[in-house]
Amino acid sequence: MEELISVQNVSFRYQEEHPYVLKDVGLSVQKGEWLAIVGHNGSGKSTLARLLNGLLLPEKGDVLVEGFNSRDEESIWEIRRRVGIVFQNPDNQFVGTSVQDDVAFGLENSGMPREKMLERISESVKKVRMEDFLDQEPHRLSGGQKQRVAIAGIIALRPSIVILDEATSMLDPAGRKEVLQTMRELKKEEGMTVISITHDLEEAARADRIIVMNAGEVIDEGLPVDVFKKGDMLEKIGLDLPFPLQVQRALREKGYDFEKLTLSQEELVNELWTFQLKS
Amino acid sequence: MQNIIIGQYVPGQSFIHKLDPRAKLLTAFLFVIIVFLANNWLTYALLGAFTLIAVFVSRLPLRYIYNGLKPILLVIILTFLLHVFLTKEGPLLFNLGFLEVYEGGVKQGVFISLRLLFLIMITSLLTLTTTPIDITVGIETLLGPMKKIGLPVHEFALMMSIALRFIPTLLEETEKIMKAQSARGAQFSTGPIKERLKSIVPLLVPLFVSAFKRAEDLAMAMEARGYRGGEGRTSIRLLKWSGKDTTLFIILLILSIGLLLLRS
Repeated sequence: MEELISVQNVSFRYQEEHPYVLKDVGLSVQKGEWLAIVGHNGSGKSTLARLLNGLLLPEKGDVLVEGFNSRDEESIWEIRRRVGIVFQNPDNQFVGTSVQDDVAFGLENSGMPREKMLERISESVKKVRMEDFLDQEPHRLSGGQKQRVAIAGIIALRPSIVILDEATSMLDPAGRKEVLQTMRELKKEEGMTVISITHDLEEAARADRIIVMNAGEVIDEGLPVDVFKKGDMLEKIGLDLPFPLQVQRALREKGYDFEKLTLSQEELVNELWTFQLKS
Repeated sequence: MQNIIIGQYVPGQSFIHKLDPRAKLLTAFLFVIIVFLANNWLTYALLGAFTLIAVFVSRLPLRYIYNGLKPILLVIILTFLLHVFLTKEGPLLFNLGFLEVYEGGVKQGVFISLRLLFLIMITSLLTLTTTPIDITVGIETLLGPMKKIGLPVHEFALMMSIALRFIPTLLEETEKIMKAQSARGAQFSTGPIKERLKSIVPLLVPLFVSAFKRAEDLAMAMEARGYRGGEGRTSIRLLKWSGKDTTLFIILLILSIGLLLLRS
């Protein structure tokens, strides 16, 4: 596996004299994986996202993206081109007056000729299935559609990594589903590396790997099945366990113990109907 | 809220709608200058013909033009009356005791009013047939050379387009806050003026707070997408100067020559 991002002993605080928001954080992101970074509000996970594409610079330690250090002023633009962020609020990241203008924004910044821009735009709006909305104004789009436009604007730049920074937390369930579905397709078809920053463990349960953060520190890391074994720890830092897992835990208290950890509804149903057969 | 139209743009497919915004902006600008060439009935008739034909060609419903004129109508009437009563030239027409009306005054009054009328009509034609964003792009390209002397043309245009982009968003938000405050018993549309003005405060404060938050988020998002000022930036919006635009300039040229020949 190829390492795309390497975060080495990073500490960060917004102002001197203030407490550190990130304390000696180290992690690495592999090419093609879906990494979920979970944590409660104030755990430092969004700050971490901003460090990953050079919007913020570490006070101590280094952030390397494909070998570029965010401390070098020259490499900052290389890093921003490689790492795209979809932010939380769908409205506040829509720069253009229409879908086409907004998708073009990043391309315009990179100084691409117009013909090539049009190609890239039509290619990327198709990938997020927004091709019928090119002339639409943002206030006529739903939250989920706006987030998909934001994704299109980022993949038009052909980045290696897309960060979803709580990108689905302001959406209704339908919008959340359509945005995540779009990202999963992109990961599958384009081999995109995805970092999803979230406090929704249900979303994180479908990731390839999970990093758990609390009070500015990485406190756990591993496959979803391994992380979710420590349900008590997750609850202690203020996260809500996925519903199927909650059911399993409630059943265990009543003396029904499953051998497998149930992270999705399907797994739970399978465990339930085969329960009597196994025992 | 869904059908909100920003600015005064009225969608259409007319000759004037399809003109390049730069052509329209330049025409409006030049028109403001050549209007001052007219100084007799014939030249004013020529300008009038140009203006009326332009309005006709735009195929806009006349009430839009009228709406554009409405706020300025009082000024036109006032200018007319001032000239009628205060300019004392030519033969005396009639005498109302303390007021004397001369022929020169009437003529001057009519001319000045017509001048204002034509100016307003042509400029509202510009804003009625061009989207605000096209006007912005037009101004940005026209003023492009001014960048060399340090005029922040790109920044100005970006500011305009972001403002245009956020007008509906902020209107929606205002409506939401109004509803929230109404639900808590605030009254916006009744009561004495003083009370109503006071009730605006709890509307404006949250609106400003959220606008600042939005601005911060937007700046962050723009930076994340590699924005670093106008230098080396390309544009997706393409302005196309076509035969129509050149035609407009030829018409304008003929009009100017006509005015120069016919003015006394």
